[in-house]
Amino acid sequence: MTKLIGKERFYEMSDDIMKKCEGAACEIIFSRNARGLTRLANSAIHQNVHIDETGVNIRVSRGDRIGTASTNLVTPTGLFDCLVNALEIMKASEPLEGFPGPAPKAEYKRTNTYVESTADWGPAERAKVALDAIARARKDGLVLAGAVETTLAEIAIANSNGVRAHQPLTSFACNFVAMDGEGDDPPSGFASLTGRDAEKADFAGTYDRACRKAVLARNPIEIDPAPYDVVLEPKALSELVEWFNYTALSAREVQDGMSPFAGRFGQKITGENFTLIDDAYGSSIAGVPFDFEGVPRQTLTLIDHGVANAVAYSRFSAAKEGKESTGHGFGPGSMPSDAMPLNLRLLPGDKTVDEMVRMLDHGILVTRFHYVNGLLDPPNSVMTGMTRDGAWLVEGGKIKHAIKNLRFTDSMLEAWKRIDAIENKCHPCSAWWAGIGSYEIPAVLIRKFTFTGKTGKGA
Amino acid sequence: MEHLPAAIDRLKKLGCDYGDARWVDSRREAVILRNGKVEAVTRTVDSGVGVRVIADGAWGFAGVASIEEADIVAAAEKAFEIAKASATTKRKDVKLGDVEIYQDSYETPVEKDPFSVPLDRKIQLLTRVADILHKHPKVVASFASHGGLHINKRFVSTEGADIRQHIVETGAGYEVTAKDGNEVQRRSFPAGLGGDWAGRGWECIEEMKLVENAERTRDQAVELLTAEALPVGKRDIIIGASQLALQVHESCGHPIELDRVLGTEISLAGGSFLQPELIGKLKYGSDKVSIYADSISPGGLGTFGYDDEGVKSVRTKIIDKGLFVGYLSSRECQALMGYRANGAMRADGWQNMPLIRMININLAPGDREFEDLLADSDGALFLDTNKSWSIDDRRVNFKFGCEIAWEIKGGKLTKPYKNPAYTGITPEFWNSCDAICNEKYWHIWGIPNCGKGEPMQTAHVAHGAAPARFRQVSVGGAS
Repeated sequence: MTKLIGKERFYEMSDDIMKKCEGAACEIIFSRNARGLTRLANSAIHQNVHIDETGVNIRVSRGDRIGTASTNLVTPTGLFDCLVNALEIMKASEPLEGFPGPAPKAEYKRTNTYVESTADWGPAERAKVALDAIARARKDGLVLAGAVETTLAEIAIANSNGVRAHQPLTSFACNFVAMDGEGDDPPSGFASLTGRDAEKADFAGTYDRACRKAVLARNPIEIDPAPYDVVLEPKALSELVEWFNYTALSAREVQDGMSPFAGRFGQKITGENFTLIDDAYGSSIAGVPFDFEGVPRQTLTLIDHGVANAVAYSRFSAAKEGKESTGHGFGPGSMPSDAMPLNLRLLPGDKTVDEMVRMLDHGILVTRFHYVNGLLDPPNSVMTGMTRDGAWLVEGGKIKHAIKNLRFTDSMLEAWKRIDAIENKCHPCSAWWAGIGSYEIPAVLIRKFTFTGKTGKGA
Repeated sequence: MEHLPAAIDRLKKLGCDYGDARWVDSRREAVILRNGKVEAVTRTVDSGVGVRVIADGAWGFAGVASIEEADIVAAAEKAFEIAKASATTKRKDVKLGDVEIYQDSYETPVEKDPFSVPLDRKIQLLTRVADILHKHPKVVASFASHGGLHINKRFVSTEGADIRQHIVETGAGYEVTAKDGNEVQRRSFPAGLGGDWAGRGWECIEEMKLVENAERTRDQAVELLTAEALPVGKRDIIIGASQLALQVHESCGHPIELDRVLGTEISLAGGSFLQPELIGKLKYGSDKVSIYADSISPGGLGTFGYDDEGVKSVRTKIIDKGLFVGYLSSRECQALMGYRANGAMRADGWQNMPLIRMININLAPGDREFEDLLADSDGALFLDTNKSWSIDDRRVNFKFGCEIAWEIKGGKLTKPYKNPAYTGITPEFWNSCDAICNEKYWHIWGIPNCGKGEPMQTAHVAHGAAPARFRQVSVGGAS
């Protein structure tokens, strides 16, 4: 059983650091991650690990001179050495014009991100899910791979303006790939699930879905790449939204001119039925009510009925425009961007997946994509990627054949103008930040989604 | 790390089949300038011990962020306990192939330790670059960075191995963004995606000529604002060395990882089309194409003395004059399939189990002068600097975007194209290679961010490559 370290201990260590920071302003992030992971492949468990580690980031500043250091040695000596490093850098570095300093003290809403029974999950519970999944796959003669993961995390923020914030989190995630045979390229099906409460998770329904898809994926035919009407299941669409998040939804990308929002605020950039929000409070998976700078996290309507409306700001990117942070900053850590939404939700429509499939006269149902990349032309949100683990040709509203994998290349801004229907509910989808926030996406029907290549023959 | 052998003593008393313990202490420094201003200077310490055990024929692993003897012994006990628990679900016993056991040490050869260079000198260098990049009214953003890394490691095992290593890595790069109306273009130097890295010291930064190339890089970004998109079609193309390095990475480096072949990465990273029955039979590329794996190439990010299960660095033929002949292997794969462990088991820090990872996967240089190749390629395109990458889960169908392409006319690079991309099928593509430039144009490019595994591990790998020509490749603008 993994126990919480608790806010008292984090605040005590923060106070000790701040007493020694030579009068400089100080921001401290503690990030603890106790992660257990059971991986399976070839219908057997092949990896079983548990790592519990805590890192600390310290940023000190005097005026607009700053220094940042981090360590995983959370001992009095390790923390002191880290502070000394940060102070040395602050003294030697150049001023950063516009650096706003630490956030002011704030009040935060409460969100329920911690489920004690999930924190109690260990190798035995994870192994039971894995072994049950393997047994289910064997009933259909399938080979199973995947992972079952449970995490207990704690985030603690403190600064010299009196900010003190602590959030315990639990999460689980599982994914299953069921394959009809072994070797190079067997027909396969995929399903995944994520959430905060492992005890209430429908693991059986998830691996059963992967197995049913694998059976349905047998005897795939090859079809030529062309524009097709598609139903993208939530996991497929989530890969596209995830890249859109990296390339479009932070103020820094807008300031650099690389985001499709740059110069287009108030303009229609997608279809009217497309509303994308970031909401730590109203999602089925609650988020953290503050960011890594200790700023209360706001709810943002990023795209409002197709109109570019808002992006995420840190204190620094907001100060550049004379604005207030939206509470999405990563602070003095080593994140890829200085701000990013972590609780994305695409608002649902009114159709079921079955109804959307029936709307396809000649189209494709896609389970998920592999290796999507959104850097081909970020201002126009051009992305490419491959279908994977289950795609089917639909004729006259009925699934006719499994198909071999296809490559798509399309502008998401254009594709999202051609959304004809959206599923009537959202599904939690995993992303690298899923343990911190959430990611809830419905299936969609997109007309004339452009496929540009196929596996096995000239692309 | 004098307490590390305590883990081994404890494991022997517990009665494991095999055990090893790794201490890894890494110290990083990063300097980041955005738009000519120092946005961050950071120092990062990551230190701890990972213990790997085989007990009752199954693996167990545990790690601890401590160098205290009691903590290390406790990690060993936990790893043993997990192994015993895992053994209850095993299908067959884990076996390790026999390798020579070493007591040795290794240090990256370094002329100038990157940590010995004063911070203000690093800032000055990047500021000079940024000043040049911003001397054009259409430049709206720039990013310049330098990083240095020291890794101290010790590896001990129940078989008697005791290996100490000190690895040094250094890197730098920059990118410049130009904008005119809704058109935005970016150029990078010396490579896309964070620049270039080497298993060397500060001397590699001095050799990059960052300042000398800033004006050219900036002007190309501006020039791209008025460039046309590359028309769709089949064209002969010459691919620049840094882009070709990533091509080697994605279409050769990953599919030769034996764990992918065995299916243990299938749920996340995928499998591989390079199945064992193809060894010695598949014509992966043309006769011009020879690719080898090693951890001995000077300056490579995959260069070290021993991997993370104590296997000494070697060189392995992967593609020999076009023929597929070798894999990246491990001791476990050696026992299972017979392919000798070749120093490719690497872990991201102390907190992860080693996986089969790329080391240096190098495309051997050819015999052409670059100028001669251009002169011999009238009507072809030259594509340079990676912008995007995508490949299927078997590593067959790929699509890469580059920052820039030029028409080749009269032996010169002439008309530029924006957002160029090319796509293909791995064996078809490598079989269309008919010319590779010689060692004068060959460089070992460092990629410090290769992701694989669950939990995700980041490996530092390298690829030697020189510009090469490929016939009748599908190209077009990004969209």
